[in-house]
Amino acid sequence: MSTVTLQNEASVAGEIISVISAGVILAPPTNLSLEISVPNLGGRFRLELTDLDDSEVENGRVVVKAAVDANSRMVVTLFGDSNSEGFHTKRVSIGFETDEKTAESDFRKATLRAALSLATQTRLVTPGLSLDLWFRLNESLRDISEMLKVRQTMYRLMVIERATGRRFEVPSFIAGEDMEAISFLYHAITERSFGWPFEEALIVSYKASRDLAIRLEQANRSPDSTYPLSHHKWLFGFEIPLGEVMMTIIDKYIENFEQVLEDLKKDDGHLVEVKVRSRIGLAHYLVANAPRLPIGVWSNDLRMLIDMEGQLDAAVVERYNALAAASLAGLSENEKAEITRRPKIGGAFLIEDPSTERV
Amino acid sequence: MTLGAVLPETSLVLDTNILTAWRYRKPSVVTTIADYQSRLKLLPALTSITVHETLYGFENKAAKSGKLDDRTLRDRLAIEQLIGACVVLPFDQRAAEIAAYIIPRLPKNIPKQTLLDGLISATALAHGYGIATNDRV
Repeated sequence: MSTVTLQNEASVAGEIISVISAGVILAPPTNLSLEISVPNLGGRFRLELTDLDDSEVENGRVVVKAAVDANSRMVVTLFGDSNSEGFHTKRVSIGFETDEKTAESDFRKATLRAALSLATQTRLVTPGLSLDLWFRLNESLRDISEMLKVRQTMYRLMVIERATGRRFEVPSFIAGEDMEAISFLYHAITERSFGWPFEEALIVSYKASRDLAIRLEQANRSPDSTYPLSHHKWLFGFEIPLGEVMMTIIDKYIENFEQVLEDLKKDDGHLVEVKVRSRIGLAHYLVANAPRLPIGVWSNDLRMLIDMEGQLDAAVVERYNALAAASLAGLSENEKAEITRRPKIGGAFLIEDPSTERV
Repeated sequence: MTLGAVLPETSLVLDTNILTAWRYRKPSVVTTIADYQSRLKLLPALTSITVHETLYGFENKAAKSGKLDDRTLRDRLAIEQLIGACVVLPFDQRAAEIAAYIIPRLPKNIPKQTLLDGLISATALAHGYGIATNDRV
């Protein structure tokens, strides 16, 4: 027996732009669908209706649920008036509910929600319910941005799942180490050769020998050092092997180099620990044997959602740019210069006349 | 514009000069911010020092002229919304400790604004961010 956990997300209110047909004929949702089109982003979604709750129709509230996938549903709440001719929608709010958090479910949901939030207007049509209206969601830019971040994380998880053949249960909160592992694994699978922060030390053990001391002295003249490693990452408690990895520490230095040389020159075979670090905190990885993403792994509808990335990015950046430009809108060049002049450090932080200071 | 080490996942803060160039719609900054957003899906962060400097421009004008006209108030609202959409890194104890180390070690002949840049750099370092800046010091 499985336990279903229902997770509800906060609804977002929408502003209705125009109502073409607002009447809801109250009927069971059999073979009905919710059709959503977002013209400025080129997105069209068709979701099967799963539930129609009209128990509060007299109080002016009808709830329509449509499946995003097997795990999650979009919840459209219609607010309006009910009379003998039917239900007349005046306001709408959009929310989502999920049974089980999976990467694909959350990716579909985040894409749909981001598209609705970034749309200049969205058309919502349910022919069987005689519902046809245009609306615009009032979501904050910060929330939209975070949604795009969630969408990216879930896409990367889907890539890791498809490449490794493993499905993950996605926790409600993803810890920093898991986020780092997701990013690293994604780059390993999709790029195979990439730079990555390296703040720690690589520890290599050598048997003390005079020859090795000479070789290490020569090698230390090169700015970078490459080491073959057997590498893996832990993600949500599972080990993901990456095979042999060539790791190049950029602008490297060896801790206590003179002492290391002295120890190696003892030539007695004892183990000498060498700690290699990067002065600029950077390593380059070549992960030739990382798992591969199979060709043709995405279904057509998933492909359509993945391909919306560029349009979603462009739409959110356009809003940011508009706000940045609006902060100087209508000002003369002199006024702009005055508004953007940096404070003098004395004026901003110091009391110029100590006699005016009151304790 | 310097973007530090070219790593796909490096989180950055915009220093005040870059934020100002963005407000002036400088094409290279607009392009760089779009590239950053497409990689990280977030805007670059701001430091609380940059928030101070940015709002100071409006408050300085209001203090001199008594109040802001409607047009300038709308402009101020826009920058407040933009700041609200960004992660703002606080100048906290760690940042103060780093700034205390950095600033006395700066060259003596630097412009006074560089001290504010020192506070911005210290804040970024304290929170593990890189800095997008056009400063060359």
